Amino acid sequence: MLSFVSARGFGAGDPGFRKVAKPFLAKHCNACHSTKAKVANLDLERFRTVDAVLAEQELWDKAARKIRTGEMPPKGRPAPSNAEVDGILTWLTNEYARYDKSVRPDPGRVTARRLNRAEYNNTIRDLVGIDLRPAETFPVDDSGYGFDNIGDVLSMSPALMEKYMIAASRIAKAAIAVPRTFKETSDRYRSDRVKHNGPVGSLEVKHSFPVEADYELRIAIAGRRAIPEDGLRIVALIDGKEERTFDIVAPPNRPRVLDLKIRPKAGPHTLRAHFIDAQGKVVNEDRGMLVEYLDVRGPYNPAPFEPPPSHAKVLICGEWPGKYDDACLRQIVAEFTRRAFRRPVTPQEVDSFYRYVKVAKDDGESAEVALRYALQAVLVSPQFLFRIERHPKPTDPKASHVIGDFELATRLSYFLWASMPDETLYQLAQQKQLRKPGVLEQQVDRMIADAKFAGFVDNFLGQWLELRNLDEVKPAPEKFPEFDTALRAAMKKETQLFFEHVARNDQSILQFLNSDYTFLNARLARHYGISEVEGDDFRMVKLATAQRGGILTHASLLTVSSYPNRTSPVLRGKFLLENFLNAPPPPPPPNVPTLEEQAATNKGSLRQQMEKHRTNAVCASCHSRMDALGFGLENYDAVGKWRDRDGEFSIDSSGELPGQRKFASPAELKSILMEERNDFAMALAEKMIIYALGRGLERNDRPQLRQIVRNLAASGYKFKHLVMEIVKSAPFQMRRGEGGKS
Amino acid sequence: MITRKHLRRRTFLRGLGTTVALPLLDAMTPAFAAPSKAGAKPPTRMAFVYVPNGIIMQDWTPSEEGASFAFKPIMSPMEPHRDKMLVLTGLTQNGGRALGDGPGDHARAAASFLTGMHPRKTAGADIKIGISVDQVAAQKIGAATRFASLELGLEDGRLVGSCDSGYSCAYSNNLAWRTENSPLPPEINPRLVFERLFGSGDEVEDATARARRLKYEKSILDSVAAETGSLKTTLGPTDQRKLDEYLHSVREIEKRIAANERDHQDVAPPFSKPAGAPLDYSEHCRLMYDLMTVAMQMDATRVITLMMGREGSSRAYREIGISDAHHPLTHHRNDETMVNKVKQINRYHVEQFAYFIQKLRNTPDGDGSLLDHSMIVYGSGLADGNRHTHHDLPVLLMGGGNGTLKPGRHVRYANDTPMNNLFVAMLDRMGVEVESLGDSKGKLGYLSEL
Repeated sequence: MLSFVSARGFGAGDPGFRKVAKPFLAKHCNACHSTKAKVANLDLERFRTVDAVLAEQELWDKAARKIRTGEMPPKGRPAPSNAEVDGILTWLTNEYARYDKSVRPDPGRVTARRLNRAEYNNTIRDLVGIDLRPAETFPVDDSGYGFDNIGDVLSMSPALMEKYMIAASRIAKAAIAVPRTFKETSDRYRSDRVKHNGPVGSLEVKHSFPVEADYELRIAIAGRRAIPEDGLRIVALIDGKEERTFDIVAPPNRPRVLDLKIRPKAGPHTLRAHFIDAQGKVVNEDRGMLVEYLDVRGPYNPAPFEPPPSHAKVLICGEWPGKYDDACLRQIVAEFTRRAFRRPVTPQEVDSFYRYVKVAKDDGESAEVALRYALQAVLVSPQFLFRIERHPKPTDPKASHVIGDFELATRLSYFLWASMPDETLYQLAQQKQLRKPGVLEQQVDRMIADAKFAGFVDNFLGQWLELRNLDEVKPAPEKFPEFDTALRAAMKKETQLFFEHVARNDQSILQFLNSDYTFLNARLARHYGISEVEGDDFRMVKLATAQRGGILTHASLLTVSSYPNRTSPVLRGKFLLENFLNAPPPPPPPNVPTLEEQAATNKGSLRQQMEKHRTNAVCASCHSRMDALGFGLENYDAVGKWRDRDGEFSIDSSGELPGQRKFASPAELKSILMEERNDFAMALAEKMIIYALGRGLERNDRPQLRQIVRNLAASGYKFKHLVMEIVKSAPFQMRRGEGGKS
Repeated sequence: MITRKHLRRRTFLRGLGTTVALPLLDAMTPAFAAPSKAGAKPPTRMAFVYVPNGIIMQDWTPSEEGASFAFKPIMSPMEPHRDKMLVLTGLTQNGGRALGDGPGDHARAAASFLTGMHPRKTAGADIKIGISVDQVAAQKIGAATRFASLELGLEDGRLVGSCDSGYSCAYSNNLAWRTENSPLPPEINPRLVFERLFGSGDEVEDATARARRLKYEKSILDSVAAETGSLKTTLGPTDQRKLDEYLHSVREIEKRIAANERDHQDVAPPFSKPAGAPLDYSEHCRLMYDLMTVAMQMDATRVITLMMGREGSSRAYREIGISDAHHPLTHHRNDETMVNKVKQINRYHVEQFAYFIQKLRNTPDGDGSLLDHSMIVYGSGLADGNRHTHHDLPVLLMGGGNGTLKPGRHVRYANDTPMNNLFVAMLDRMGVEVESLGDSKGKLGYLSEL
């Protein structure tokens, strides 16, 4: 739909192509990549005009990268001079820039996005004011383009719909309390009926207490023996904490019953009674006695009701309990619907939900119960579950339009908070202020500073750097006995805090590549061999050596890019190419097995084995760059700990990237990467745009992506600048219709 | 013996205090027969069990054909069920092959397995494969049961990162496709499967409260369906398709509620509610297989799919002392140590599956066992995981198919026989007649005759 405009007048003379590109191709490329030879299925000879070049930008992006990094022309061919390389690259960059300004931006089209699990949880939290996290039990959302908020991929199934129904009912119940009276009941748990994991003779049960109140706990002991000479005592525990210890005095030839009063908070608690001996040790063998049953009776003297925080958000008029007139009930429904739909609602829409209140009240339900039904209906409406954007001409692919203010507020809030817009954003949209000069900047600032920005860190960073996989990795315990949940959590936290720091303080995104500080607590500092950091709390730490610095050296990233039992230079190299250098390697060609390196064995070090592999020219074309990057990080083991040896071999973290760029340590590798900052910026920008839009990028997006990165570079790579550039871009501000596609 | 009377719902609810995972007690089964219409012929059930990353085929395929084949090591846990199994050799999923699309065999293996189609190569936009055999059956016979089908799994979809060489994760995470672009994601948490079958047990509900709740739910579903209908007219085709998926789901739930009202009885679950997905793989398998058995036994559904791992899975099977990730191991390049580890994993999977078959076999159903009235497919969309081959797939067909199969044999078919021929033959036996499915070319023969 966006045909290249030849009316710009290059067709005729096209001096740039003739003077710069053509001689370069003729001298350095066409020997192999001619129309006839077509090595690697690439024909560069057929390009005769700049128009032809601009019509195949993906191809030329790749060619330019190979020329820049020195991958092409390959070893053994005369290398072009620096001036020649600069010449052709500058020519292409300028042609791109000119092209980008000349085309009318195509905003593209975003498919209606179902809220994914994280968005659903956050939205419910902000909508009702209680963090219920109901989506934990929903199926994992499929992802596309590396993210799980892609409209096209987020599907809907009956099983999920069932969960939405259940969740809606639970949320409505939690959000609106009903006055309750508690009947006193008695529950008996018998040891011959209950299976549990407590010690022999004990009894452990989980009991759900309806309300914080006094309860009577009764422990019945049975046993054949009379007074135990060894001084057995019995302990009552709640949630593992000792509540009371009883001496056992009477001969227990029939159940002996011990009573105690407890006052647990509402909710499930673990109740246990077990025996201890004279030394206070828990008995875990048959001593002829056992806990026969536990009784729980109550509640007595229930604690006065405390309204949940949701009442303030939802019950905006009237008085709890029960005092709501019809106008107020309708207002409650109207407000809730408006907030849930993230836009103003029509009286008809309100009626369609208020209807449930009326019907339920006619059924004799209380106002609270009646309101719950209305809430439940709103929460399963497609207008809540999906972010639907209206389009005046939905089927005309040529019709672009600026999205409405409420739609923009919604895009913003799901981008930076992974949640619904707050009242401030909503009001700005209502007053048509959002697009006034300076307002978007102000709001983006405010949103990044807000605690809800954690939604961005969790979801964007968690997926860009695959940090989410950190929850799942299971480093082999026999090799990494030190890896535990505390370390796992600390690894993740470091990267999150670091990212937040850069974002909130509007630092350069290049700090992700290298920095002289990080965030540590005692556990992680120990892992890094850094002393003088104490306690569980994280703090900013100035790094004294070049061992660490930048996200590449974070244990989190190094762990998720390793196998459970060893490092993998290939995996790490691939990780860097994909996520940092915007150069995802093509998958291995068909019928060539993946280069899966083996663990260091007596056949030589891992590195020696891999180098042998790379003598294969087909493998070498990709692996020379990929493996070199990975080798540069070999000083970090599979859980990111610094090492100088791997088994009997000493670590060699030197390498050479195509173009004779050599490095001897991780620190030197990082300085080489700093030279490729433009690729890094492009990688990060592309990922962030995909995340912000909820769709993959297409060829028509490339001009805008390049423009964003050009502006970003001019700003000194400031984080907020990147966010603002995305927010202001046509794809974020506009949408177009859709053509008939199969 | 425990009878249903002893396990009233109330008892069960009180017992929820303890959420210890207990395998289904065989002794309980008599109390728990399907709500069968007395004298009626038991229904035929079908299930599909998928294992990822292929199988070491030289230790799988029997050398002999016919009834007296010898078991190779990987298949040997199935030996007690020789009389109830068909080993099918030579079947191919051509749609799994590259066909010009380059790498991505894992994504294609899972996507083609039950569809017989070639997935469109896309990381997200316009995913497209084809309707899967289980869903063809579910759409025809699903109305008879509470759940048209159940989709289960033992491993969550990959949390993050690209899945396979430019293919959306939807392809490698799902087996069941309701339409060519709507996958049905598997549920991996046994507790949630349990709650779907038996209710959450959150609160005790009497008949009046239940009726009232169902009335509102129906009304809510009704009105969101109407709302969706009018909303759709203002949207472009892709957005409409998304809302169609939604609408279909709403209609499904409506049907379920109707079925529930019709057939509702206080069914006591035969075992207590599982706490969640256990870390131990065998335990996780057993819970799922118990739930599958009970779902079939209750006639809550007649169609089930189970992914024992997502395709391309890198699970480390520490339970059997293998700490290497599964997928990298399968690229063994004939390294003996690696091959042996893969064999152990393959066999371990078969052992779990044998537990399921034993369970079905032990469960009386009408005039025979549940196994007699079922057709259970076990297999992988890859044969050789090292070379990514899509022909000669490992396939078992277990059960008697309600008298329509003649098990106890190893059958070898001509090279490149479409796997979908088997599915057409199975659908036929389910009473679902289709002319063709995916790339099928007729009905697979030699299943009921020699």
